[in-house]
Amino acid sequence: MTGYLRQDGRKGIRNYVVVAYLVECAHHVARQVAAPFDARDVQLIGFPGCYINDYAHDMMRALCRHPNVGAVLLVSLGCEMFRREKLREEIAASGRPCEVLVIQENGGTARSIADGRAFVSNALTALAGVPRVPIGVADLVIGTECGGSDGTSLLTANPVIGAAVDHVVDGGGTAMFEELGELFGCEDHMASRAVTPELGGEILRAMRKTFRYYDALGHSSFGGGNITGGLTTIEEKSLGAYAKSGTRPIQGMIKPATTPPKPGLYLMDMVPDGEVRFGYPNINDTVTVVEMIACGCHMVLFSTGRGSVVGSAIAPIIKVCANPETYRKLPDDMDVDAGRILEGRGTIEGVGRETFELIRAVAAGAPSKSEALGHQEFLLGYKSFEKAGPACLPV
Amino acid sequence: MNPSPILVLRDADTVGVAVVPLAAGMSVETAAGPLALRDDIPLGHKVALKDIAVDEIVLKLGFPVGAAKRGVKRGEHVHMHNLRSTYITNFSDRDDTSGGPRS
Repeated sequence: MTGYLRQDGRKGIRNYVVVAYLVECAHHVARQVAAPFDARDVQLIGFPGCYINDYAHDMMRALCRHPNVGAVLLVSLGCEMFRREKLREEIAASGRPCEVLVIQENGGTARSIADGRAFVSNALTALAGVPRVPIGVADLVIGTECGGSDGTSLLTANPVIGAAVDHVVDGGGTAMFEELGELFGCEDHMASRAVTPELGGEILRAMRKTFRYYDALGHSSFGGGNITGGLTTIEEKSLGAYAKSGTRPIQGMIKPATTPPKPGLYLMDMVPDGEVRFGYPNINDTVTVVEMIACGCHMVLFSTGRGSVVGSAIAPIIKVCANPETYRKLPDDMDVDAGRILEGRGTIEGVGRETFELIRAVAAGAPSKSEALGHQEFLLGYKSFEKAGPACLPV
Repeated sequence: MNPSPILVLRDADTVGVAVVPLAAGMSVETAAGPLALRDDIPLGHKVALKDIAVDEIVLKLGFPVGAAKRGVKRGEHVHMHNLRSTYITNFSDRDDTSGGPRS
């Protein structure tokens, strides 16, 4: 198993050229720049807003300097507020080839697309020379997510992901879980797993913030498919979601776009701080997947009961299917058939080990199902965060 | 003997989970004793393992998953019509949405 060595010492499992638009008005040009290239080489991301936002800048910087990314083309309309030159300098300082294409100063759409494609072609040649180095579980950062949960998620896919997460942590690697709005009822148990009482206190504080936030918005992170699938309340859904975190101690609580400072299990606090400002913290699963990837996740284990087919830009998604009926309907989209446990054809331990082995295979270059199908969903909006308190990070 | 089609996750639980679709009128063996089903129980859905009083906290995996909206009989389907969150009212409890597709 080898990876791509980056200047900051992190190792990537992919070697992408990223094309990133800095406002929706540059999205079409960016998409056309990326279009002729293979998704195995070039990935498209971007921020749609015209107004400046610290969180969005931090996210774009972290994503453009992700270990799976080797070079970046920033596509700007020209009049948006995004600090494009600052971002370009931050990316260049990480040792990655980076250019800004400003459409208004570059002859418009057609010439910008042509120039952008020329940059990508040259970058792909340059990236072929990135040194390959051995990579192991201890180098990996693994995210966990659930989408389209149902009554089988708690019984199969979520504890299977928990078992795989335990293997990652035991192997010296890093894992994270998040979606605080889907951890109601688990507060005290989470706090008891924190490595220090102070971190436990911070987790409880974050959960009180989460309650206030969702209460002000008028509903919890709970939708129609959950109900069809047999889940009735947010605390019931949370039990299943929490099982993804496995059983190891919680080392720290990080905000989006924060690289975990040392290995172990982390909770990502994705609920904005302060008054309710920009709407729902997670309008869909992709928002929080992207936030975990901005924390350096090489891939994300994604549990689904109803059958989500999404993938992601920059980091592969591994689908762990909880429901045996769903697996039979969508076998081409699912990487792991955890629902078979309900039919007596597997155990949580066995399928957890299988999932861990799949992590290693995907790290070694094998595409996940959604990756091979070309999925590269991406979404980034507005949020505001305060700095994490000192008790949140391990020393 | 075949494994029970109703999973009882913890001894203290007041609901079990169907691991195959089950029909009203069936009688099934469970870890909490034989159970006569009063309703259809789809895969992944909950069934009452005992009579549950109004406002009683319902336990699944040993954790509270809500409070009964009304009295629930042993063998009844436990879902939106008779269980409520003790945290945040669900989107789907409101009148202004269908809550998406239902089967």
